[in-house]
Amino acid sequence: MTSFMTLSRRRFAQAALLLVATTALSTPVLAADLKIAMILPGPITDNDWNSVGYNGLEAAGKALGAEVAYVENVTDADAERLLRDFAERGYKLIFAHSFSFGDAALNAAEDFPDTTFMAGTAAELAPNLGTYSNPDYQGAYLAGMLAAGTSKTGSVGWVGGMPAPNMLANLHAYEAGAKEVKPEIKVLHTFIGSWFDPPKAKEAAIAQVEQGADVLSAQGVGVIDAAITKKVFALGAMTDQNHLGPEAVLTSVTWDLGPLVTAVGQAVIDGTWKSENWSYGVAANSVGLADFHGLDKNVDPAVLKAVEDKIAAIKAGTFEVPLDTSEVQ
Amino acid sequence: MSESASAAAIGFARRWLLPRSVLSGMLCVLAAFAIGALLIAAIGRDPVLAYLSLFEASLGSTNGLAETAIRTVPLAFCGIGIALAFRAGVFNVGAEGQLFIGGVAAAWMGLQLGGQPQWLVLPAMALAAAVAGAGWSAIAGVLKLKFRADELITTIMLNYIAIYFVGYLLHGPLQDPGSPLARTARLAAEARLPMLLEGTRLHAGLLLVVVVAIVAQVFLWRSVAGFRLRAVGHNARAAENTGMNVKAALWTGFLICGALSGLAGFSEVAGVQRRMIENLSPGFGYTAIIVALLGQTNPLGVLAAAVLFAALQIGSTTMESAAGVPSALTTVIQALVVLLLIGQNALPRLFRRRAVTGS
Repeated sequence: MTSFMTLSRRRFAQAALLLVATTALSTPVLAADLKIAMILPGPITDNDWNSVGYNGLEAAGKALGAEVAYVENVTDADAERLLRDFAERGYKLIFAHSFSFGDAALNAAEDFPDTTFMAGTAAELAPNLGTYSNPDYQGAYLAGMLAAGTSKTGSVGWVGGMPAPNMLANLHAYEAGAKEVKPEIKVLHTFIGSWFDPPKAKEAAIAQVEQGADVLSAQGVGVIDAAITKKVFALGAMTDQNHLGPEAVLTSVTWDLGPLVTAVGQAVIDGTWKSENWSYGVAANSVGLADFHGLDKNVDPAVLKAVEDKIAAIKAGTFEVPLDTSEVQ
Repeated sequence: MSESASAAAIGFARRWLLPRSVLSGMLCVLAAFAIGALLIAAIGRDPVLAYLSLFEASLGSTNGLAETAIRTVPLAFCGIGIALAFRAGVFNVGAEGQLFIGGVAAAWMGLQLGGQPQWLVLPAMALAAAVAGAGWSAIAGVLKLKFRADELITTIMLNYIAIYFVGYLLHGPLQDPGSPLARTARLAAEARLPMLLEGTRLHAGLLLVVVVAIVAQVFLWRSVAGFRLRAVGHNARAAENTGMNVKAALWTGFLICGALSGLAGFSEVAGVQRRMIENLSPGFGYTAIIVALLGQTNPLGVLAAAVLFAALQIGSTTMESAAGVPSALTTVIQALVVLLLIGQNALPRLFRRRAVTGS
């Protein structure tokens, strides 16, 4: 009896030790406590910028087992209030998913020093405010190659929102990619002056088609509509947009924010997070091309091969897509 | 508009839009919440949880209270302006546009005076905003008094012109040189309203609006000008026959509303955003119409109604994420308050008529 007691006591002690050890080990990675929030400038169902943000948040929530919350359709005027509201409610990692929320994030970060903020392409950082960029210019280079390899008229188009740095990088890379395939190609571009104005984007795209463009890079909602109307090809952006125009959308340059949000969340949990620019591009499998849905028959096979080689070269580090954010006319 | 028509319009407003007691206003709010609760239950959510999370977020913490107070400021400025105009029989629904014009004027003045001391910059910005807002409202005033154009139509149309005009300025001459965004450069520290509470965004605009509410209350009920305003609003022809200057009273209504709405823009720019931006207001000028009606067009009542609506709006996003109730529901509740305010006099009448027919 006594020996049994001793044994059980020893076992109990062992079990307790083991338990302590496992808890100590697992606490930093379990992340049951981390709550992640995101505010988005538009509807999460836009198949575009906001869908990318929302999908990234959801993916990170699943990967980390973290609670997530979001508010969509946030105006610039309201952004700071919502960031502060999430911080107040114990969300320790908050994403401000718009270039125009930089101010708001900076102000909120000042008053909530224990909360980690991440603002999309922010100009100014703070000790608890980092930024993440959208290196889709790398994908835009590939899109430019495809556009040139598909065009029969020798003119391709590009329609975007506002001349923000990431849009300028996208445009320049698209142009560079197109010129690599066909040095004499003409690249038309239009900034419509708004992030979301489908009729205006459509009009601008139609104007480009009327000037001869027969492949359009759709950096805003409305361009694909124009491509369908004018029976030309469009290159989607952000998510696989083929379902918006199965005959028109050749492929899309996709952006998967999941790996980045997950990595940032993990870094916050581990206490290794740093205020810097987080950027996950082609090499990290965050930026890539969507399925062609059978439309690759319209592309010069040599160009298709060149695009594949280019992706491999970027991943191998032997080719770097030029990053050019200089302003254009 | 002919004298009799405007008298009829004013009579209509007296009877249908201006309820008699504070109690009836509160009953309308409670009834709106009750109907809202039915709607929440109808979509399978818990109304108690929804309302708790709504008020927890807007009133349950220092930050929440501060945010509610911040939102009270523009709603009360516009609401008091609208209330005074309504009292004069001027149905100025152009507060939204006047707010935008005031905001851009304040930001412009703040940027012009960069580097000057705060005691000079802030009053200059406030003055610029008030003058610009009043000037914008005066366009509708001229159209009304010279051409008899109904201000209900002109002020609402001027809202669109104002917002697009400000959009042009922010995309063009006033745009922040270092940014592709439609906004002015950031204001210097001297051009910002002082903060009232450490760790929150609560700014001195709150004190300003409380002072304005008290002054407006005294003006309306204890001054000769306020008496004239009310007399003209009650019955313009009778007021004219007693020798009152009806035009002066109408002008007062237009200008005060414009100036106060301009100040709402000033407080948003100098207190909250620290620059002028596109979409400065999520419809403060429109919500303020309901606020003015719920506050019985009494400045202090309007202030109280503004607090309620601010709390509703602040809590709505939290209600959405915490209880799964769409934040649009608070818009429904706000609209129900108006419908009930307008309808409350009709209900007893309806029953009385039925009773008469029955007997």
